[in-house]
Amino acid sequence: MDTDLVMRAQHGDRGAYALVAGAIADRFLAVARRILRDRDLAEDATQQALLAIWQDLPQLKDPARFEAWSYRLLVHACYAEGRKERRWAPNLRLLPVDEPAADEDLSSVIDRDQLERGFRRLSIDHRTVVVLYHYLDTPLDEIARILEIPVGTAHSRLHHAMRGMRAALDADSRPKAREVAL
Amino acid sequence: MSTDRETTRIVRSWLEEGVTALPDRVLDTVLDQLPATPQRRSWWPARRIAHMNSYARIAIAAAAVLVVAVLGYNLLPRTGGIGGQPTPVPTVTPTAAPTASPASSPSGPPELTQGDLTHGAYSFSNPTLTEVPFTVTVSSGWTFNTDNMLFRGLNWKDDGVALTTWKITHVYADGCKGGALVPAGTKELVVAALAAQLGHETSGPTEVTLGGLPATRFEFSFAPGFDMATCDGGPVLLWPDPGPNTNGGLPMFAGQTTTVYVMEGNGKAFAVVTIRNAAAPASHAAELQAILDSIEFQV
Repeated sequence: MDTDLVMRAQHGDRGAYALVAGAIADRFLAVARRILRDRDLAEDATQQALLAIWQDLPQLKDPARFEAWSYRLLVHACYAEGRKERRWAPNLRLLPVDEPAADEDLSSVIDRDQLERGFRRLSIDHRTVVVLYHYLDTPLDEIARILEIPVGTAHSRLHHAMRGMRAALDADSRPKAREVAL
Repeated sequence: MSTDRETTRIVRSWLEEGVTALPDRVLDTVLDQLPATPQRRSWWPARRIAHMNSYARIAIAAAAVLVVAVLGYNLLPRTGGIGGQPTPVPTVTPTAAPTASPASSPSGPPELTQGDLTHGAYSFSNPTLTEVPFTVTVSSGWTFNTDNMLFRGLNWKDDGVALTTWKITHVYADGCKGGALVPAGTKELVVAALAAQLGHETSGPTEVTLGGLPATRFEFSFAPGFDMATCDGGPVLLWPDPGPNTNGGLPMFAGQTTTVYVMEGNGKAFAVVTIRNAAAPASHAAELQAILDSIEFQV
């Protein structure tokens, strides 16, 4: 991110912020969708985060740290949207299915379904760490700073989340009792 | 069975799927709101006090002490407490020697904050969500999430056990069908509304004591063969968030048994709620009971 643009936006330059927001918007939506598993909620979270960034930009001390700082606000927005979902609406809307490649076999479709269900079973805390680590390739110490948690907690969440994902993948691949009997 | 490396490969590959572009309308909405959205400036720089002379610093410190003293005096418990009941005699709750404890503070156990917890005492004291603050003693392995929910397990909705608290102003007449709300700002009204609530099996009301204070206990569950799909909008809902704010509320999912302790504090109704999923191991249920037994209200 161009730190000059960030600094201009910090001083109220809306044109500069339009460029900043435009540069990060798609990435924010991608991260929010992966955390929340819901396009509508992700769009709302992205919108809230972009507004929060504008509001709080003057408080960013080091413009070079913009990216990590902005992800913190995005994660906060995701948590707020996720809270609406979890306290009340269990009818999780499925993400629009990404078009599978023509040569995909059945097993990869099953994998995708297992992954989706396994991921939805994770808490938003665990999903967030998985997305930051495995999608954004953010180091764990940086994740800890973004989430304002100890590094050990970030590590623990990642471990538990991946254990859950592995269990989800393994669960459906086990032969059913009936199949064993046969 | 998958290996860790294989799981990582599959998850990373799956996360990479899909092209995502933010619709123009979303970004346009943000940019349209900028003129009406003031930026927040740092209004009280920490270094400001360093530039003051000694007299000014002493004056500020004295004023701060006075404010704390006045606030502290006003917050001292008066006669009564929750629902006007006498302040309970403090009791000592036996606890195992902690292996790892949260940092204690001079004013009592630390407030629960989002994340995995170590063994120790914590306080439910978020004023937005908690009518009367209380402390609990938690063993390691529990997590506190952004829903003000203390839970054990992978997910409180599916396989875990959980404990939370809720301010209640309204109750759904039919938990399964939703819609009609019964105003219920007092304990008596909440008890009456929950006793009459449709959409689940009800055990209770039973008069009990929780944390040394009177409570009315209900246990809600589902009859065998109950089909959640017949409920409008998904799960059974016991009540909305206070207001009422129907964007939130306490849901009951299939396989869950929800125990509600209706109480009153500051003249308002609130509940301590435990949730037990059928898939939760007995050891987790025992830990949940221990947490419930450890409750001490800060009145």
